[in-house]
Amino acid sequence: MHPLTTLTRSLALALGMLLAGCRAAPAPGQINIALAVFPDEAARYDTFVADFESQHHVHVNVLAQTYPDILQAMRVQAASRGSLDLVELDLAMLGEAHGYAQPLDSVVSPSARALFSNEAWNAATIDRRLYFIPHRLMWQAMIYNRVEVPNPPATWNDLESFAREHPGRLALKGARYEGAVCDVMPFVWTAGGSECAPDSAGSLRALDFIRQLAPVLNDESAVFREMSVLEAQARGSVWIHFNWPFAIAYLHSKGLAPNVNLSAPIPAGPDGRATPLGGGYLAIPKAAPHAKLAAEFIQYLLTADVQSKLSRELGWYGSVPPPMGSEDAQLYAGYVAMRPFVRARPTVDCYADLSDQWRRAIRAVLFDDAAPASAIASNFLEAADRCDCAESSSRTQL
Amino acid sequence: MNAAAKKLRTVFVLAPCVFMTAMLLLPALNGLVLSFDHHGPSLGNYRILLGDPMFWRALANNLLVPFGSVIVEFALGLALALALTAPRKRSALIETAAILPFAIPEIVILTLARYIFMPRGYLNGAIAMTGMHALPWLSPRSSLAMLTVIFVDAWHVTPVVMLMLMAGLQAIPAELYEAARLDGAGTLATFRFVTIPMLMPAIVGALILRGIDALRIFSTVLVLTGPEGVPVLSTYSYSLWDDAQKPQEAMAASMILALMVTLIGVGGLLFARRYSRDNGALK
Repeated sequence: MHPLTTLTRSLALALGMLLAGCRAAPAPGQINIALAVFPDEAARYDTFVADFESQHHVHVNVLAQTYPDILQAMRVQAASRGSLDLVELDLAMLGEAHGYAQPLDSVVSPSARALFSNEAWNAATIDRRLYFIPHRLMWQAMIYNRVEVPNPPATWNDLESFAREHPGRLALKGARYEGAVCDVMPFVWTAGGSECAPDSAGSLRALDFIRQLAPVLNDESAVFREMSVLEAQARGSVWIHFNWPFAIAYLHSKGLAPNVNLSAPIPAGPDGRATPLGGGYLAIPKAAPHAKLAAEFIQYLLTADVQSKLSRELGWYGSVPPPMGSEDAQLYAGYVAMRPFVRARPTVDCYADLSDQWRRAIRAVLFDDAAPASAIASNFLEAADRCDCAESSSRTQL
Repeated sequence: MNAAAKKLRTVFVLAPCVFMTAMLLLPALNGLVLSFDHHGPSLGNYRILLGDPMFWRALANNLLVPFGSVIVEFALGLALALALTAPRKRSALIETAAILPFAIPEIVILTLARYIFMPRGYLNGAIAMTGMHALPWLSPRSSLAMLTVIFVDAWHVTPVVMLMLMAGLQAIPAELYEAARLDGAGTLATFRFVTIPMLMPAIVGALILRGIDALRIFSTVLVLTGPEGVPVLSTYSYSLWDDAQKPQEAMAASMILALMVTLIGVGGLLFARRYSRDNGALK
């Protein structure tokens, strides 16, 4: 055969293989789970699912992705086809994602429901149908440097006094992302406000309070996110900030907790305490190639033993409180104390819009010195066009 | 040309065309359509962007940062190129040091830069040791943060400009310098009347290439300051897509950036063509 003909055919074959590779062909005996975890967590999850794999003779393929990418993959799979059998989604995405997920009412038994509170299930229930199951619940607490701040602030007044006495040492996660909403919403809730009523007296009062803190916040608050503010806390640039349980685990792994940093409850406002419920919920996407196996995996997860194992082996604090008197109990004291005050953000289709409007308003108040009322007026739609959002649930007893 | 060669030619033309269409043209067209999708076809996404103060900051920074960066790159690149092509014993150490920033992977050099400039970073540590106050090199929305971004971006890419200018310098005939010396021209006069005019094609090429490339700045800003610190259009678009979950608005911002890069790029190419047509004489 002429060498040119061979080359031509080889090129055509390579192109054909490239195009064939674009088709997703689900492997039998394997379920694909997309989790919002770091690669090392994915490796630990692989070990965690070994029991399920041996019991059901299947392979669980864990794909480490980010929440936005997982949601995008769900959108695509709902519109055509895909290879994901189970996905993990952030609580803030459930409103939109339920349109791409299969109902799970028949998968979850009454005994499984007892593992979590009704409120945790309510956040996963939309139009009276259950679309998600709690995978790892978490909430925020205050991380403080116990060397520099022996008595962590317990109230708004204490927090304000601390911030004024130590300019630059208090930080908020003020980047234009969901973390800003999670940091500010406890102030809104405990002032009697609501994310659904941004122009209510309580919401404005909370924004007014954080505006007073703005001049003495750490300079980098405008760009801080979970990890960057945690690094600043680890370096000692920041002495107090609010974060998720992974923060204390990170500081512990660096030898900076409990000797230097600890967790404490978020300071109480006029209406008491509150903290946002967060974490991942699992869903079976529409067109999941192995929906039955995925449902069996969910049932495997929803047993008390496996929940304990999940908490123990992956270090995901949330569903199982740490044993009394243990080092974890000391490290996570703030999270334990906040457990009765957890609240869910609204699970509505338009949450992304609502949250984006809050983020813009929060940043206008914190970093552009805008008056709360004008920040709300200029960043939220008129009440009639606003996201149709029911009041968030009251305190969640987990 | 025999039949097999003709077939091969067709394949070689067709394969890249299919690839470019699938990987570039179709996604770009899809993006364009998406940018006009706001609950149906409309200019709504663009209207939202124009009403967002951060968009205007990103747009302004997207002109200022590349402009500053290219100036610094050009000045440093020219100085290094002149130093490294000077007729004296070359230092391998200096040559390596000059090229190293470009040889190191971008994420490594940017992470290193972040450790240097962060509030309790190496630079402020050194400053504190001299008894002076630390400086907020990366303080969000400050002029100093913008200068830091410009410097780091230039630091990383200066070797490219330097190599292009070195190639230009080495192409200048030695006889011209000899003639200038015999005519009594000093160092400055030789530089002004021999080096610069002869180097002009390389200078124009380097400035246009880097000018267009600099407009697409993304990772330097993202790693050093985050999307909000010194926003540029690409980080603004990324933030809309990733944080705000608004792909339509993100695509609208990307389209504005693409338009800007295209217009400036086409302008640069037209200038280069005109320069070339006029035999190197700048009009």
